[in-house]
Amino acid sequence: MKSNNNLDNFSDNRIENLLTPRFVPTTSLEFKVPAPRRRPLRQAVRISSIAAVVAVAVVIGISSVQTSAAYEVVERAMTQLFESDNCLVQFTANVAESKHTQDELYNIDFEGTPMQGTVEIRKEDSKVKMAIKWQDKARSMELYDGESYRRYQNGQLVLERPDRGIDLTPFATIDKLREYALLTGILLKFREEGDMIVVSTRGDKVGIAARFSKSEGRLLGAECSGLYDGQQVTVLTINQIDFDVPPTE
Amino acid sequence: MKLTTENKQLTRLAELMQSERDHLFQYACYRLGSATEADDVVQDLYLRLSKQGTRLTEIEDLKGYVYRSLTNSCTSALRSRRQFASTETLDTLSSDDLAPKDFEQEFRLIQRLMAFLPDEQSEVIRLRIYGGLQFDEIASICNIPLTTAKSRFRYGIDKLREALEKRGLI
Repeated sequence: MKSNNNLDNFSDNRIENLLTPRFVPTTSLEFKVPAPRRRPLRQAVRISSIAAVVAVAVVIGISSVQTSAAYEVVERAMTQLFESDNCLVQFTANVAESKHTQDELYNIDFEGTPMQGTVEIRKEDSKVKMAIKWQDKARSMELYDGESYRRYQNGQLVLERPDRGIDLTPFATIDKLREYALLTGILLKFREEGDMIVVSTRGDKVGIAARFSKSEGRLLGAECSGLYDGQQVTVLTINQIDFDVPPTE
Repeated sequence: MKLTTENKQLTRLAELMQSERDHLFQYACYRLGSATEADDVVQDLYLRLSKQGTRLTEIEDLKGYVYRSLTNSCTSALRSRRQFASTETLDTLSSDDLAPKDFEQEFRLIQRLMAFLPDEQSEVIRLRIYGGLQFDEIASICNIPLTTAKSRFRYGIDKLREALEKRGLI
């Protein structure tokens, strides 16, 4: 039986017209079929949770602003990141030493100790190389050169194993980022505060908030936080990001 | 490449969400009174549904299921707020308000008109006007007979017309 979906003898459209928006709210949401079994973050996390979080915070922060109206800021920030040969990130993270010797030195931990460090991301040819330098007693340094992971302490090589490094290309375009965001359950939110644009994400467990300067068109910093024991705890703060600095040793 | 049933259903879900995107967003927008929150709720809904795996394949009326899930998500979002009732009533409405000149004014007007109605009537009106749904689809989503869906819509519109006439606004 075919349903009658009309209202009989109902000719007063004045109210319906009032309720029907002329200024229609629009959304930029896109729904794409997730590519199965393609999880860039999972691969990155396997390599190094800290390096990955820093890298993802930087790249996601920048890329996600592209969805906003502040297009110029985005353009400049995106261009800055992807045209920069290197990027130096100073951060503070709550960390705990890894229990397994073959893993990276530290893991982000809600109950960990705050420790300062720097991440240097350098692009060479098509590869992304990354170095983490920790301000701990042993002056630990972790290197990812695209083929291996090496750890130095007190200037001595203490661990080396094969490792493919972090592939940042999945984050290189806004389309790929959206696909990634949908796959990983990240929501992107955007707001303006004076000269700053704040982009925040909310995942299942940990959220990232990135701050941009509108006037300078660049990323100023970012924070990662999550709910732990009923409290919002900041586990990683990106204090400063410099682009195109001379490569360190 | 051979697609599994689950993948086919995921594709169907993505295509449905994309084609219904504006209606889903507008429904959530006028239900929640916030475009930002509507964005979040709709995206969250897609993430949640796409993670359902094989359960998705058991759903025949996917469109109805998506809208039903959206109405539930909006209800939960409203419940979690401390304050969501509009304090503005139709008594303070002027004839100028009925001719909004921009998005903000129109959005506020629609919110005030909707807030005047009982929930069951405003819900049917939202699904019809912003969700762009047929009455039989609304009846299925709200789990009510077709005649009830129609009468709730009609009573809601009548109630608003009478209220505005009584105040000399139309």
